[in-house]
Amino acid sequence: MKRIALVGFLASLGAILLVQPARARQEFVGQPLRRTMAVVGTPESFRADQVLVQFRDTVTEREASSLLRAVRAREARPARHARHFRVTLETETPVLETVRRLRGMPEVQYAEPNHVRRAFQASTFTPNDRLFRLQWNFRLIGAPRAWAIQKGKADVAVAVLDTGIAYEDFGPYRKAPDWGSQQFLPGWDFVNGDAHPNDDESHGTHVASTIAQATNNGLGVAGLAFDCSLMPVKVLDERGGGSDFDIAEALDYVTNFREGGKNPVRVINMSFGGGGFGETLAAAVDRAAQAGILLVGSSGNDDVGEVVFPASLENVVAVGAVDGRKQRAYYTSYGSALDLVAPGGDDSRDDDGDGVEDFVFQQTFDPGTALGGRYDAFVTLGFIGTSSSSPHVAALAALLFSQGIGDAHAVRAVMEQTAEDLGATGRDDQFGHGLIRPEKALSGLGLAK
Amino acid sequence: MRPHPAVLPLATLTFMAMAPVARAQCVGLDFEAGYRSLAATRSATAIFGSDGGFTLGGSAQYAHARGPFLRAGLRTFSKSGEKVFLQNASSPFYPLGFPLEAKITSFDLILGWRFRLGSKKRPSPLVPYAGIGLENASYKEESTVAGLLEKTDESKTGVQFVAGLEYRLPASFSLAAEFGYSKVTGILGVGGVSQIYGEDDIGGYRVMGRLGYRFPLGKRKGAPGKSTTPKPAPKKK
Repeated sequence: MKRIALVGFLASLGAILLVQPARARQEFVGQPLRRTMAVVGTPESFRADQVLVQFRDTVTEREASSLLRAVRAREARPARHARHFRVTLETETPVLETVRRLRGMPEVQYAEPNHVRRAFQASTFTPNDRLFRLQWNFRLIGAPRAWAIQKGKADVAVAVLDTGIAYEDFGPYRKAPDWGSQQFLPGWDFVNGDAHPNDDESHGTHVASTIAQATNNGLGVAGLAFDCSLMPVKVLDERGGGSDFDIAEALDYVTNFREGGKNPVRVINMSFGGGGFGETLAAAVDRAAQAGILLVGSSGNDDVGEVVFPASLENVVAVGAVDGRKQRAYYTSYGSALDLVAPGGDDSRDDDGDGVEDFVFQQTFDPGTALGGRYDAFVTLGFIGTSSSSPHVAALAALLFSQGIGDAHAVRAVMEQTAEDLGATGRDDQFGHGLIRPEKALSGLGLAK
Repeated sequence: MRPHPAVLPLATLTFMAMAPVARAQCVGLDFEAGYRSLAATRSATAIFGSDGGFTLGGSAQYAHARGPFLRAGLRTFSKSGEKVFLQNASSPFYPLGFPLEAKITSFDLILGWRFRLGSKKRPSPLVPYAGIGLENASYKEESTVAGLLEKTDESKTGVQFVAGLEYRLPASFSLAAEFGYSKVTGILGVGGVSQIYGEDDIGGYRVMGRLGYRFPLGKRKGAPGKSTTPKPAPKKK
């Protein structure tokens, strides 16, 4: 009798299991990034007397000189770490016509205008107080929690390619007081050609402060990766403009930098862009990426559906901006090349209700007094723009390198995989993979969760 | 709809339950210890540094000396590791230094068959056996990241197969070596590194040593006991 009951029980259980619906299987599917590239240029977007040219390997120096003379070249400056030249033309020589002539020569591998990239700075605002409570941007991405996990390590450095950094007392330049004991690696000024990449515009100092402003020192505001090191690299002049040649030179400088036999620079931030595609700059970006450096760039402030160059390159993490509501900022550019978004601010909103518009506040000097040659009037200044969102991502990348993720591709992947999915489900052109989540990125994965 | 993987083992169990049986029966208690290897090999290696470790447990069974047996068991398996970051299944993993503790507690119900070696009159002390059944695996994962405790607690049921060789010792003791294999899906593969590696089975194989004690039920043929034959009356002197 007992056996009959057992047989009945087992048969019933089998019948129940037989009609159980199949469970859907979740699969991880990666998405390839798509990039937009175009060769365009207007007279305002490149140096009026310069072209960049690279000859084929088989062309001798004498042949190259002869060809350059034929296009009215006055001077040819070779790149330090690559084979291209910056060619300065005789006065009144049309750049685009010269580029066309050079491109028609079989000895020329490529020729292009020396494009000018511009810093993204939509507007500024100076509050009266200098408190962390103003940094809604860090609260939005859960920075206080992330700092409990990782504050950065001094042997991980971020190179800030910008207008320079107010990092030393030198001549008329002064070190910003809220740098504290922040470590700076020896950088270079590619605009003026010296070893003192001091900021003469204010943009670069603000961007660098978002990354590693001294924090918990009772002064000013905080930086996201404040225990990481910075490398000041000046590629933009006092008006916020810089050429492809200088930027490419700077990228190669950072790529080939060595200290103690290794390169401590793991991340490069580029809060600038514009113009058309530049092969010289693109090649330098590729060289940096191949050397294991993660490059981060601003998507642009033109509110258009195309990410600007160089952030549009596949080897650059393109960062757009969101406001305090995690909605796309009104100025941010977007598109198929957009990878991530981070706080960039909105000067028309006060979503955290602190009585101050939602700028991104960091310490830098007053750009107004800088026009008169004074670089010592330091204030906590509010910027909005993708110039401010990009350094959030660069800083998170530095924190991830500090946490022990040694590969740039992996760092990029963790930022994308752990981002808060905004907008349409999955990656989309408005928000890319979404808003960075430092805590989630730093926490890693368990076996089941 | 598709049949659950447990349907086939259940059908077999049903068939075995209907089979003719020998009469000698016992209840046994076993202590088990051995090695367990997780089927989610790559995921376990990333988190723990290896895919296996020590496991122990115990079971109770109702068995015929040569014939079917029904066994209920409980086992536990614990392992320590650390959280990692993994980009994709073909990329290296990066340990992040956050400690992680995992514990699998398995409850299983097995119906099997004990086979005879040797002749009926002189059976061998070696008893091979095999069985199939259900395993309910409870998985707990805990990790602490900068003071914040993160927990996972999931439980699922799957199927398992065991095969072993028992050696009967004097005084109702027995020793056995046993191989087991289980498949339990639904806990892994939906998050963490197991999702990236595409490993959804928290089961795996185990090799166990078993020390048991048997309590006979009822009388066995030829067993000592009270005789029913009346004793002869003592002679009167």
